[in-house]
Amino acid sequence: MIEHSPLNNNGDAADSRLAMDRLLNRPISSETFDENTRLVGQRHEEVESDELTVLIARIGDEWLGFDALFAYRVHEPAIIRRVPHRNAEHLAGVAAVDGEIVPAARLDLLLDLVRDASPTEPRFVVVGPPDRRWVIPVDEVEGMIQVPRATIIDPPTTVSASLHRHTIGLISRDGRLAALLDSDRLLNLLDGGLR
Amino acid sequence: MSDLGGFSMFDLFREEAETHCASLESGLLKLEANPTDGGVAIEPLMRAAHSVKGAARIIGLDIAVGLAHAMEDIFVAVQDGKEILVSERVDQLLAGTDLLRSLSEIDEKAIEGWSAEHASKIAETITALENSVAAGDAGITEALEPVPGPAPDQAPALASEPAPELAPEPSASYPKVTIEGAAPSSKTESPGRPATLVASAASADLESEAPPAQGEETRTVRVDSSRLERMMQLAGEVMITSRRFQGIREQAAKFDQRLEGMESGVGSTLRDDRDPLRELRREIDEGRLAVTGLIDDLDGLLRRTEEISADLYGQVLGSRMRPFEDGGHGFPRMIRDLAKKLGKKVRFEVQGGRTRVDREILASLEAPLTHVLRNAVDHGIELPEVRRATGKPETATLVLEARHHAGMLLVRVREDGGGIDPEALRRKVVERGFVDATVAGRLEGPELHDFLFLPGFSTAAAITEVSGRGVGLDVVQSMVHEVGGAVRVESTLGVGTTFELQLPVTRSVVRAALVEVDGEPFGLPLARLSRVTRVPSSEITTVEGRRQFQHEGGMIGLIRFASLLGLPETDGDPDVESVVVVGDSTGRCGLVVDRFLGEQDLVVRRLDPRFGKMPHVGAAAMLEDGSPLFILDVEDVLKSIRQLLGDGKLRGTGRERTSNEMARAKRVLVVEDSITVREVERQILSQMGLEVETAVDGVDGWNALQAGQYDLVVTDIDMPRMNGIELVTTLRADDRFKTIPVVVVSYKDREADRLAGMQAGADAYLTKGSFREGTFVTTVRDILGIDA
Repeated sequence: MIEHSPLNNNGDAADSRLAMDRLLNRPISSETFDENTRLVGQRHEEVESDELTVLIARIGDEWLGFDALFAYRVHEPAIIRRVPHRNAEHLAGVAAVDGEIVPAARLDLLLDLVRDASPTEPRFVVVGPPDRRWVIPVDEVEGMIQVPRATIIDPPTTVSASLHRHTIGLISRDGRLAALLDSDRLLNLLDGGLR
Repeated sequence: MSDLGGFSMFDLFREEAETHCASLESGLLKLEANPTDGGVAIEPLMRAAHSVKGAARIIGLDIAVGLAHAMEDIFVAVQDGKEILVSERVDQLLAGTDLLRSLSEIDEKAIEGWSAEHASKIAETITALENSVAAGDAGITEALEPVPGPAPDQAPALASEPAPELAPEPSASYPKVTIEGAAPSSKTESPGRPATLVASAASADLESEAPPAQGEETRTVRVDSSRLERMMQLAGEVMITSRRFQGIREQAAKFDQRLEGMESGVGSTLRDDRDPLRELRREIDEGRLAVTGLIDDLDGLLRRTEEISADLYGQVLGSRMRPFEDGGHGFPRMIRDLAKKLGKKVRFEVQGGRTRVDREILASLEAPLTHVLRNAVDHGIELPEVRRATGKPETATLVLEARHHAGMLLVRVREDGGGIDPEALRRKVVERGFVDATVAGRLEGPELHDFLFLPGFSTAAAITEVSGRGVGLDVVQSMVHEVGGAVRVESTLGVGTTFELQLPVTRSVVRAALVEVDGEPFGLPLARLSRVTRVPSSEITTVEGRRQFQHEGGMIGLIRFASLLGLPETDGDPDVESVVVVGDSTGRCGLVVDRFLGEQDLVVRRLDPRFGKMPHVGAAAMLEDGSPLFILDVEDVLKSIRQLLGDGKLRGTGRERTSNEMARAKRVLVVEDSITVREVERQILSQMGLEVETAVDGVDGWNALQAGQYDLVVTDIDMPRMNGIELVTTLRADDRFKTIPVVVVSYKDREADRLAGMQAGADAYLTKGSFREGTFVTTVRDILGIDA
């Protein structure tokens, strides 16, 4: 993530207009033009169903993939308060995101992972449908990627047993593997610990 | 049927019919109480009937069209002075209204069935409406008589219709209409002429019913409550987010300081045009100017955003408030019908109908108020002949009053009936074995009346005969307690009885003391606390492992709040303990917290329903920095403490607490709302050498289970708050209690009930007859594996 200092935000208005003009009026290469044409033309072919949008995030050494339909948004980390009389190990407490008070999960404990001691860019991944929201603190969020479904590979049994149990496939990306999590299973397990 | 933006036409009809039926009913009742209002009051009724007719026509509900049409005809006739509304006619019109309303309560698919079912009743009602009714019904003339005849020349001034010659009686009342219509605000000051009871009743009533003056007419729209809740959340979020501007502003100010530093670094002594730093200095100058301008802009924006977001927040919060009168639409009708049935004469009055009340409180008030009002008519108010004999007016006065007082909402139900006989009540208290005769003799007023609210006490038939009070008052009390309120009764024999409900004005905002327990902040509603204090360790004594301190002449036991909440205990200040004193004169105790954080207004958020019933926690809230915290349910906390203290099992009172107290006799939890049965069970089980603790309902039992170790649960089925089936189901769904044996003991002895209990996960299902038969003892023995 880029550190926004107020300077960058509030710089000279004329300057930023210039920069914008430069960006919008820059000469377009023929390759870019062709690519854009192709993309626009492709829209009608409805190829999306073959691809999965995945949010890639990291906890400790493991990269995790959340189905973007499940991972609702990414939020700045917020204070987590513990919940009295609720002892489920994976329940970190509750946190407030977007004015809602939602439970926060310790996915690291659930998946047998070790979180960074002091993550440099920690984030909350907000998951679940509106009435079953959770926040999952992670050490880093890389972003959304499109993954052709065909390229998702079955998880080998070498990954940690707990992680394996919640993984429906592996996503290979730049020579790195991310475990695509089983949304439904995860949500049921998390909700189960609330009572 | 066609759809309109997601709503079916029937849905629209339903909403419309519901609204109009409400105004039909209230209008009819008002007119009946004060038939002289004719001309003005009839107008809205006509419109309502007409609108229902139109709406029914749109969706092709001919049956409803016919009915509404017949009703409308009557109203037209009354307005034209061709008919006077007599009691019998009002009954017919109310019956018609009921039919229309029931139509608004069914599902679209059920229309055909409804039509078939009600066809004859509707036809009957229409026929009745079409036939004329004999004028001069007793109910009317009686009401008319006391109204003094006015000067006729005042009449036409404000009446919307010319005074009809055909009906001399209604026209006679026009001046009163004139007075009310012209100056609704002056109705509290009584007009100079001799106002009769009936007339003044109508005036008082007007306070709640008077339509807003022209120009300030407000429209009401229906909003889904969950949407409103979400709006509250977002409004709160806007407020918190707007505070972040402050951070940006500070950064800008810091940057300005840096520029200032650069400026002085560059120096300003050289004034030479060829100074190489001249350009730089000029740029710094410009930069500073720009930054200060920016800070000014931000300041303005900050102020404005804060204003707007605070206003937005206030508005959304306010939208939860509704006038009190919105809550009891059914009351006048209920009282009228009940009084008629019982042959009593009751004048019902609502005072303070405009008082703003939180919609949630309003909704939770309906059931207890219905109960109290019914009781008042049924048992409080005497028959007309009895009243006459005691020199009272035949028509009793029943007043429902709402007002704000000292930050609370006071709702009173007041009648001038027979009152509660204190002697009879004392006898009953002694008879039921609550206190002995000497103590009972000393009981007075509220202390004595409090017994009426005890469960088990009030359901006794005898008390109803003796004092005419008390059917299910415990239910009223528990409902009021649930929203954080209190109930009081005041009664004077022969003069009347007043029920007073004290309620929080809103459940949306609560003033709370913030305390820290094991590093976590918690909110404790201030209204429920008696004191917050710091106690030096030297003043704390330990008796039998319990820590306590002297306070206002009494000893107050100390409990570590952390252990009660299931949080790890931390070492606070070793020399001074921060103590929150909760409870009332009957039993107080001190909760030891790590420290006090101050006092704050908290906007109450509902707990995520996924958490289920959480002991000791009432709600959640957000602090100003946007972090969440839990608001505790002090009532529930107290219950747990009493339970623990009551049996001398309080753990965690001191730091030196010992942990192994489980290797002793088997422990049984008895969950039962009836005092009698609870006692019987406790005695039987104690005689078996078992340790027994008791809980008064499912929630109480559930909380007790969180706090202690039990080998067996004995529970009733029918209990308030959480019934036995729910309790067993909850236990079985929880890993900690999956295997704990549960014996259900219930009055319900049908096979279906037994099955429901066993399916929920009970190990045995016994009826209360089992105490006599001895099966209760054997069952418990078998389950716990103890020898006879």
